[in-house]
Amino acid sequence: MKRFLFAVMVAAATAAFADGPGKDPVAPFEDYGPAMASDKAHPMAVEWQNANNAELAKLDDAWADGFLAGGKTAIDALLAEVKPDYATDAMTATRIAVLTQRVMATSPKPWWKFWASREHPARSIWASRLLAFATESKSVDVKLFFLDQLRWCGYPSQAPGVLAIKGSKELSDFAEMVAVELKGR
Amino acid sequence: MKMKRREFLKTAAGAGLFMIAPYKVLFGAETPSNTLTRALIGFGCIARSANHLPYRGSRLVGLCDPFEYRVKCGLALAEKQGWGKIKAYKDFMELLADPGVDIAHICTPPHWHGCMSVMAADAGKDIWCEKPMTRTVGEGKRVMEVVKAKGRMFRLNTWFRFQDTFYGFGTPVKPIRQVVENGLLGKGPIRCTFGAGQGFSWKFGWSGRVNTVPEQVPAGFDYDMWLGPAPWKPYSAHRVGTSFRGYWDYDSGGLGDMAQHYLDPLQYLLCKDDTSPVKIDYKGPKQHPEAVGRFDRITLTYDDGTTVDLDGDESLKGEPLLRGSNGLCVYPKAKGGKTLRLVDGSGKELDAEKILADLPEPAPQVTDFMQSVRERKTFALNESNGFRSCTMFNLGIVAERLGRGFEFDPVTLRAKNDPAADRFLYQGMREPWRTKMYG
Repeated sequence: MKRFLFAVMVAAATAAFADGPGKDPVAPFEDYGPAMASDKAHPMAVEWQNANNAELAKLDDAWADGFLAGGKTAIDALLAEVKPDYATDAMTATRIAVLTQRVMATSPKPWWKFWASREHPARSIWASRLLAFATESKSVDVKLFFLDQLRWCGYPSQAPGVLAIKGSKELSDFAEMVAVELKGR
Repeated sequence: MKMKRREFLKTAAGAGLFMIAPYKVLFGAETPSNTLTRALIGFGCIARSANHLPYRGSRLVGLCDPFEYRVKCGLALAEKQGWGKIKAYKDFMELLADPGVDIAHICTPPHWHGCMSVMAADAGKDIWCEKPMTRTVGEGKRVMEVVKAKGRMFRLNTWFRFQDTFYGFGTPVKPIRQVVENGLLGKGPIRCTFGAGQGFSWKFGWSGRVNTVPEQVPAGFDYDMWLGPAPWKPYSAHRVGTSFRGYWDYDSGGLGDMAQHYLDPLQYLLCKDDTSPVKIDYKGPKQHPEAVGRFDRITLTYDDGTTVDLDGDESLKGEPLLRGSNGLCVYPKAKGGKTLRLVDGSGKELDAEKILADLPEPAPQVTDFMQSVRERKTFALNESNGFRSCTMFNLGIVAERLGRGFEFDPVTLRAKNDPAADRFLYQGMREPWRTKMYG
């Protein structure tokens, strides 16, 4: 019933755009309505989450720490799964995003242990592999994906490496934005 | 420096030298010579609604949009609605440079709101901005600073703190404010719940596709301008039509769409216009890095212990909108009822109508933006309290993206000991927009 009412709302809103000549190339709600759910190849994130609740629930801190303990081999195997054209498997993309956030976790330390770092032990390798993959990939889309992760966990010292990434004007714009973010807002 | 048209009018009227022409209903407004003028930035869905193109409180003089098709639609519709032939600006910068425009009406997706508000203020315009006020806390802070520094008038396009029925709650916000302001809920913290059970939908339909398909940019569409400060990603119609709401780069799903409508009135009725939550908790699935999904519960906690639960999974359906520290509860208006329901701690329903009749009215608010602009009086929902209510859900959005909670300092406006959260609160922008926004 909710979906029917939503479809009616969609039709009404779409009709409201029939004022000008020709067709709106990006009509609002174009992909919405009952057809939306049937596009199994390109599900909406909410549908995908609902269908993968159990798997997503496994992506907790213990999983992330266990995965990162696998070091460069495990990390590179995961990052190699990123594809161009937004075609990366959604669970792979989400796992990568979860790991990006996990490496930013800081640990408490006793007051007397002044030499110890609070940084997650895997942050350095994770951030360096993201930059390496962004640099070495041949695909602009894949480079964008990795920069889009590096911006949340990278170091200021990585800014020059980010700026050195070339491929298109759009990519250079993005790299410039990320480099500024890494150097501090 | 050429005196602006509006300043001249104020001065002349004050001196009693200016003869205001006889009142004429030309466009349903005052005569063109003393009517405030407005131009629309963006002509997608929302620009057609009552507060935008058809709004008669000011004269519509022009619009712009990165879609040529939508510009043509807008011009045709404006003429049909009695505005005559309005101007099509090449882009919003040309619009902001036009001294004939008093008010810049920002109707773009949220990723543009902050930058355009700052640029409009810099250009000497007063600003009417669609909600959410900004996409991030960092942008909201900057808008607040610049609008104040430039002495501009700013209003957000939501109004439930001062008029209309508060969605499914069934009454306006005023009686709820009266209950809270007059201490009927006790001296301690209040528990607030927002979800389907209280009459509010979180609209999880605003979700992005986990694998959009890159497409050819349509002819007549300036995708680079549409993106503006947002990161460049391959074009896909689903990212750019009204479904932009489903992508983190531009908005944040149902939270981005509805939270300012819901939480701004809540902030007002809780009398918390000058502060923000200090703790944010998140319960829900991990989020896809591109496409906005759902949340189960986001809890915002204020320094005084007041909590606001955003009930995504409807597990709090039976909760009242407000539960006081003394057990008194505020429920939505019942079907056939006259006002909100008050139920005390023992479950006894009180005579809400009688109780409300004896309570003083809240302080009046400036609710006419044209009056605000003319008299330079801060509008009811402005850059300051709008920033705070926007911050409420921007904090929730960060928790969603982090997949966990964090703490926030409402004075420094930074996450506490949490650089990961801070990166989401203060995000970068593409050039030249970053420089135009932050200098």
